[in-house]
Amino acid sequence: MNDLTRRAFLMSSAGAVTGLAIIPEALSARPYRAPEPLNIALIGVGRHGRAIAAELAKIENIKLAAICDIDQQRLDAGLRRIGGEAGGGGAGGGGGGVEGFTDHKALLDKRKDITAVIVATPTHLHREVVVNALAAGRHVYCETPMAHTLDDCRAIAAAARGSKTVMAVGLEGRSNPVYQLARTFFRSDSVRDLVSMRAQQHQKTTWRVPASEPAREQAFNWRLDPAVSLGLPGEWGVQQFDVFHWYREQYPVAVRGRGGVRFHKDGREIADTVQVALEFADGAQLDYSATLANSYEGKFEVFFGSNAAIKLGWTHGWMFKEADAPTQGWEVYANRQQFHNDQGITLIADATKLASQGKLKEGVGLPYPSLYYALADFVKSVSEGKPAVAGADEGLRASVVGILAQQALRTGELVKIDPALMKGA
Amino acid sequence: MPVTLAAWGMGTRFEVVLIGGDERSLSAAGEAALAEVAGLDARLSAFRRDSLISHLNRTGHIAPVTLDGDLFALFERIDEAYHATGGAFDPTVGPLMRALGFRGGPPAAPDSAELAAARARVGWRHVRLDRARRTVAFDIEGLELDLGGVAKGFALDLLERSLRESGVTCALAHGGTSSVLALAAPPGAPGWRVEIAGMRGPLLLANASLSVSARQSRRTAPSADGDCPSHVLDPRSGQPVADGPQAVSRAWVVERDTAGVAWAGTRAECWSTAIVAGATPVPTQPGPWAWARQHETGASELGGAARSLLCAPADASPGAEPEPIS
Repeated sequence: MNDLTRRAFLMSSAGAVTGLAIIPEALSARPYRAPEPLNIALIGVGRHGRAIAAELAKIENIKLAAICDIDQQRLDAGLRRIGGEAGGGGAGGGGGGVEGFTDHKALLDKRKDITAVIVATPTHLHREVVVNALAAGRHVYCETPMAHTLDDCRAIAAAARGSKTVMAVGLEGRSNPVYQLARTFFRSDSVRDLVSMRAQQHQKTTWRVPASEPAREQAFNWRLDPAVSLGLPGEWGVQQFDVFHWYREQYPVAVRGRGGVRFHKDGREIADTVQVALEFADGAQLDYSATLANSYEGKFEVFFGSNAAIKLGWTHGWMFKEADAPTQGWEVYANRQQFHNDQGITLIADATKLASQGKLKEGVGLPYPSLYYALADFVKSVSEGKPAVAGADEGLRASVVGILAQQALRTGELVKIDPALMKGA
Repeated sequence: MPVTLAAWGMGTRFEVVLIGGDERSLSAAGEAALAEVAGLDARLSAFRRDSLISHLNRTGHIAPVTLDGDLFALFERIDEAYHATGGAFDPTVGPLMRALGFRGGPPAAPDSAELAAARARVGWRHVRLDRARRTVAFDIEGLELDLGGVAKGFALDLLERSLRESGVTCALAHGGTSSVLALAAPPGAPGWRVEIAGMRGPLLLANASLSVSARQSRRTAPSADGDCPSHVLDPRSGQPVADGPQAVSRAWVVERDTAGVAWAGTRAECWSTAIVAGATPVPTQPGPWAWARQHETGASELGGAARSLLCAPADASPGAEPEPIS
């Protein structure tokens, strides 16, 4: 979150509430170090793939040993940026370098030393890669949404269940230390009765990817292809919806939505602005807004409760308490001294006011981007035998919500979410 | 019709103008190029706790940090600039910037013991680059990198590479109007017209980068004896640099490395940063900026003179006149 959105982010709660920063103080600033050396491959070297490579570089004792992309030019660009030799297609790789492949099956066959694979291909291509990697006995991290159809999601989940290796899905909220800490507040009733929920991702961008030839342009712009794309609710929303599933330990029972092309009138069909309502069994509703036409306030989630609201912004988290909310024991200490207490949180009184004055120090906030924590947890699962923080079943359920939200958007009708689907069967 | 796009990054506004092809493709290409800037901001900003530079500053003295190809190449360019400028370009001045109140928070005039402690933590010589492993490490604790003096130029270099990979050949980009990079000239013109505040006449820019650095762009508190220190330090002495003219430097897009980066933006900005910090603009090493002439432009409307460094391409014959700014 940059400075502009952070200030806007905090100023929205004037007057009636006190803002407290949620910061996991116990967080070490040292990056994770794998106990044994680990070789990893990245399949899919688009912009997100390169972001993944950048975060992997911070984790110690692991090596990004190979990358794969079906597009040779993109593979070469990736190799150049990451530091291998361009022109690889299975033949490259000097000592210490990154080997390039255009076929993931060739990668799996040749590089038996690579035990873990990260899948960052377009969504509709996840299934084949993930299933092949699991069948080849590798650990897999699959980006969200897990797949673009119910069938593909089920196939991946079945393959994961039948596999002895780790399968993790990139539901980043669950690995995020701020979100983990804020969840303990939520579950311990600081928020009290949950009244409603809100989330948004606003970012002004065309969502178009450039390509130097028309043939590649269509392949690269799968997000704008209605035949395969889950649109904004699927590609963007799933990560955020999952935060609510995880906090509440339940999934919505129905979804409705509206959307259209409000700004990028370049012939596209995929809506650039959407509003989606996810209804839960107890009547509480999550309102989700996403647009490609405006960036105000960026990406965040909010839980509104009768005692407090919790607002989460991926590197920051806040709790806004009502004036008549009872004071918790630890807050008495917090108001006297602004440093961490025995619960491992640092509270800064009047944080909202300080932030609006630009006085809040940059020390607040996570030391690594959200994506880092999800990848580190995957490496931990692989190295230490822990179960994945978010596995294929969570991935399936979260993706189903995204798939049905996009369906609701396209049909304009209320779509019921069958609880049987949410069992991962 | 030229397509113009803009995005925020590195605390300023980047803008790119593209010519040629259809609007949809140019927009996508421009957006992808600007996304490089945003990505770099996230990795390089010393103001963000979750950036790679912050990570390096926290852990560089404990264990070497692996950098990706682009960032490691940047560090190699910085190393070259440090040596070529006699140490006047040195991005380790962070602790000193903070001690003098230049990095966020209220400006301060700290006592001399605090300043001395800050000075002891400054020096690019403490940075160790391992080219075989592509790692960087610090040999003292407390070293802090601040790439503010080169980040915009580097962003423009990666932006330029991205545009070329998308098939764009004719474009102009700038970061906050203080760093500019031109690809090929618009059709029918010898170059993109660029005006520099305080200097006469437009400059025609093509396949080159221009960087302007000034000493007086940020107000700070007066020190005890009433002077207003500028926001620029001379790393060699650890002292703020006294008021003076702006520096303009230009570097040509001459050759690309194996990663496809031409480094003109980075080089131009390193030099303009170094000149305002007191470097003498005569590099001693031959290369794409082998010849340099100190060019006094005379008084401008604002009453000051600008010293500028003009760099000629390596294949220009000795004695050939680079384009003067006048």
